[in-house]
Amino acid sequence: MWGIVDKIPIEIKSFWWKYATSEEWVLSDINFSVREGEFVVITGPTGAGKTTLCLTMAGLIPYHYNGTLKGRVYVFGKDTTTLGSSDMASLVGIVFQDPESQFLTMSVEDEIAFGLENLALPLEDMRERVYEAARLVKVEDLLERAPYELSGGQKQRVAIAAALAMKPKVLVLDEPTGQLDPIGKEEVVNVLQSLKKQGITIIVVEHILEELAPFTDRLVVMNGGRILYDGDFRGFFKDAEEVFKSGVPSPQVVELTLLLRRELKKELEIPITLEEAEQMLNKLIPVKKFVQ
Amino acid sequence: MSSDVVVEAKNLSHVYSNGIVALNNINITIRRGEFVALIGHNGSGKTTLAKHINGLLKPTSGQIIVHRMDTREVSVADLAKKVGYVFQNPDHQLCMKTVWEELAFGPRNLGTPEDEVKQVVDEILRLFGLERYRDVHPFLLSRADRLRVALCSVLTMRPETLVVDEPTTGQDMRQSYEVMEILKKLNKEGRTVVFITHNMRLVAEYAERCIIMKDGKVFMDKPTREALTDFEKLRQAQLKPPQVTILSARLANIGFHEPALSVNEFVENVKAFLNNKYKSL
Repeated sequence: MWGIVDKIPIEIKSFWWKYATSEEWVLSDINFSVREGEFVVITGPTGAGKTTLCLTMAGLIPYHYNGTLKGRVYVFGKDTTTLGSSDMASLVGIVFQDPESQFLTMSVEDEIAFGLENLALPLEDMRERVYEAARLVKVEDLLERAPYELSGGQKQRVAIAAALAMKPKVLVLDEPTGQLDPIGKEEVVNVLQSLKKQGITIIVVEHILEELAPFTDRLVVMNGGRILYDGDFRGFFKDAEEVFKSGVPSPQVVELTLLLRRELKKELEIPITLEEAEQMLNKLIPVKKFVQ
Repeated sequence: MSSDVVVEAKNLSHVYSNGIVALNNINITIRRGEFVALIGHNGSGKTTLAKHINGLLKPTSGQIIVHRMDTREVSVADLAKKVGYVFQNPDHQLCMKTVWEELAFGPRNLGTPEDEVKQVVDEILRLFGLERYRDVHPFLLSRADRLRVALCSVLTMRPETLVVDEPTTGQDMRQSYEVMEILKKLNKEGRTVVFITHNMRLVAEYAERCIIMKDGKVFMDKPTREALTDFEKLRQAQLKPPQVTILSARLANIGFHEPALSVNEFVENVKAFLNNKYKSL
């Protein structure tokens, strides 16, 4: 599509945004780009501007919102202010926190096909795409069901499938697991992990980082409309003071290591996964030597 | 019914008019002063059960006795004097033009004399640090503050029992802890607190008891430590223990036989463990 192959999926340059109803800038001087195939996690306290940034990346800002902007947002090299919403929809898919808010039809199949119907595809292609998207998020057995009958995790996976059916190059998810039970969360996280393996560029907003930590390429921490940190996951948690000030909830394995460092006065490597924490503690507690 | 029982459900079932069985033969007893987490998968019946405690929904069979009242025989207003209910979405309950009026709404409805209303509203506003918002329209506040106002507007009725549905949805971690600390304080003062959440970390750190719902039934009803360390049963209920609890279970082979529910507990366990080991050298 328009020779986008070598272009950067998302590039935001000195971007500022204020809604018509807001008194202050909701996004201030955002400079941020996402490389192809990257898995980026955005976090930060409520009111940090995370959702606004999602809407901006998906081109819904400024297309569907009134407000004032400065700076530029490029999606595969195109300025989003020059792209129509149907062009945007096939480049960047977006999934919101509450899957029900985006459901409109009475069957999972229709729901996944909904966006496609605007693309005037032949019926066969459409079926193919719906099935492919359903398979990617493992809801292919639910196509006949009504969306409202599904569990929370299933609903959110259907919402992701509906976005994927448009074959976007980039998927933006705004707190996709915020309302899900722990296993529903796990289902969605597993789907995101497998989408990453397919090479889809993924940007996900989350408050709870434990499950995403093992396969996050980059962590972006926002506060007060600004980007506070943009780098590798582990790097952010090196400085206990900074972490505390940011209000970002660390994975529990990070938190306990920072506390152990202080209490035991030992330099311990910061683990970001359960496995790493287990290794660290096995070293700290040389059990074999001391048994009985 | 002994005097310290505040909620007693007997063979309670609720079938919605579309035929969906939301609650299936629930039997639970909650005593005065308990701090209970009501947890379970999406659609397990948590909210439906919570709405039976304040009488918004009535059993379609069986009964529920709340503060010695059979909810089928008394009005929601009578129950509201004893049981405060905070909705999942604060916007479902906020209805007045200023925060002060919002907080005064409940006690006025209960027929509280105006000087007492003024006293209780001012006291609660002070307690929650919301005085600066007293003349502000609730809908101009952030969601986190709207939730606090919703909670306060229930507290001004001085309920003995509080039922809070998902108090931390839409709040970040720091705000979630603030809300939980408020509930803890109210519990310490003697109120019974029942809260619904998906955040297992908060369950582990605050609840004394877990009522776990699955497919409209009570699947497990145990002290929190027992409930959160039965990983197999939790998984069947679509739940997972906190990361630190999983980690301590993985270390059981090197002597961590007390699974930790919180980071602080884990660190204390490590310290105690190291002390004992080195002393025994």
